[in-house]
Amino acid sequence: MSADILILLASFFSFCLFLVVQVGVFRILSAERVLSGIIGVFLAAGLLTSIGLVFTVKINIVLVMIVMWGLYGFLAFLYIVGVFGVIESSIRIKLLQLISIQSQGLRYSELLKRYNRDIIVTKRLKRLIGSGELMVSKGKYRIGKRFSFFQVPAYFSLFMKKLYRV
Amino acid sequence: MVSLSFSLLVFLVTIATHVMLYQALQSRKELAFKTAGVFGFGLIISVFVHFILMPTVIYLPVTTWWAVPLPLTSLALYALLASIYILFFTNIYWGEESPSFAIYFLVKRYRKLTAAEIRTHFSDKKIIGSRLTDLLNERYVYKKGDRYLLTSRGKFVYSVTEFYRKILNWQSGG
Repeated sequence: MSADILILLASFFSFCLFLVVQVGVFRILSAERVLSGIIGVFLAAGLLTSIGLVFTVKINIVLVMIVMWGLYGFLAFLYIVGVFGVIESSIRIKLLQLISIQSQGLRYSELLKRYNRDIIVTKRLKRLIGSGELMVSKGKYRIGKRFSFFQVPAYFSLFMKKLYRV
Repeated sequence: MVSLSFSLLVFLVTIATHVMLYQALQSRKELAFKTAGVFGFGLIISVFVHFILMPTVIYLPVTTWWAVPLPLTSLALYALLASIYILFFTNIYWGEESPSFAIYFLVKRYRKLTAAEIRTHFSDKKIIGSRLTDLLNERYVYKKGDRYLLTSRGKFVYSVTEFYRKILNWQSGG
């Protein structure tokens, strides 16, 4: 099998493994631990595939391994930001959910009683504390980690806003 | 690795083209969004480079690790990078500011903030009202009198996300 096909298959296999493990792990994980949980699942699935590659690939193992991790990383990143993140924390999806509960529809004032700025900020503060991005002491929030996975999309969004002057 | 470098080069050139096109058409909002189609041209160029140009014109000694031909992997890399980029572009285009990112940068800027201080930087109108208006404009919801209801499109999106939630055994997100 060529290195090209092998890399594609290994990346795709890692990603499928990641999805399967994620379903299992997330059934028992609390909402506050999702970010650290998904990074753990990503590393575990990638490591399992890497171990398999070490025993099966004879030539260009370093190349296959490096490129496989890169491709798998981008696949997982796309899924986390584009699918998982949207379903986990999208405000729009939450609005659809709240409106769907009432068969006769929902007034804006009723909507705000169930879901508002305070709820949104509180939920996100809990998540950011749970993933270690923020720390809280004596009721004051401050930055927790110097570097984390969370900062990648956060700074990339900032960079794109400047690039497109939005 | 040479194949992958070509893909990265095509991706970077496509980004530069996209930024220039977007800025030239920024005043015409609908047209400006369609500039993302330039990444499709990037994909066509990638196919040309990896399947026509490299195998026939560029000679590489395949015995060295950096010259191992990776045409499919390179195409996949370009497609993934372009998809991620378009996703972020779509977010900034619609003026979507993630509250989590906003909170993070607020705390970073002011160093120490209480929850009440953080809340003052957000409003129901900006965080809920604007998204509800988008859902209305994009026909995911409609208004009957003063009540909001789901359209069939909204019901479909909601049922897909609910299915995903059930698989993961999750409670409501948001």
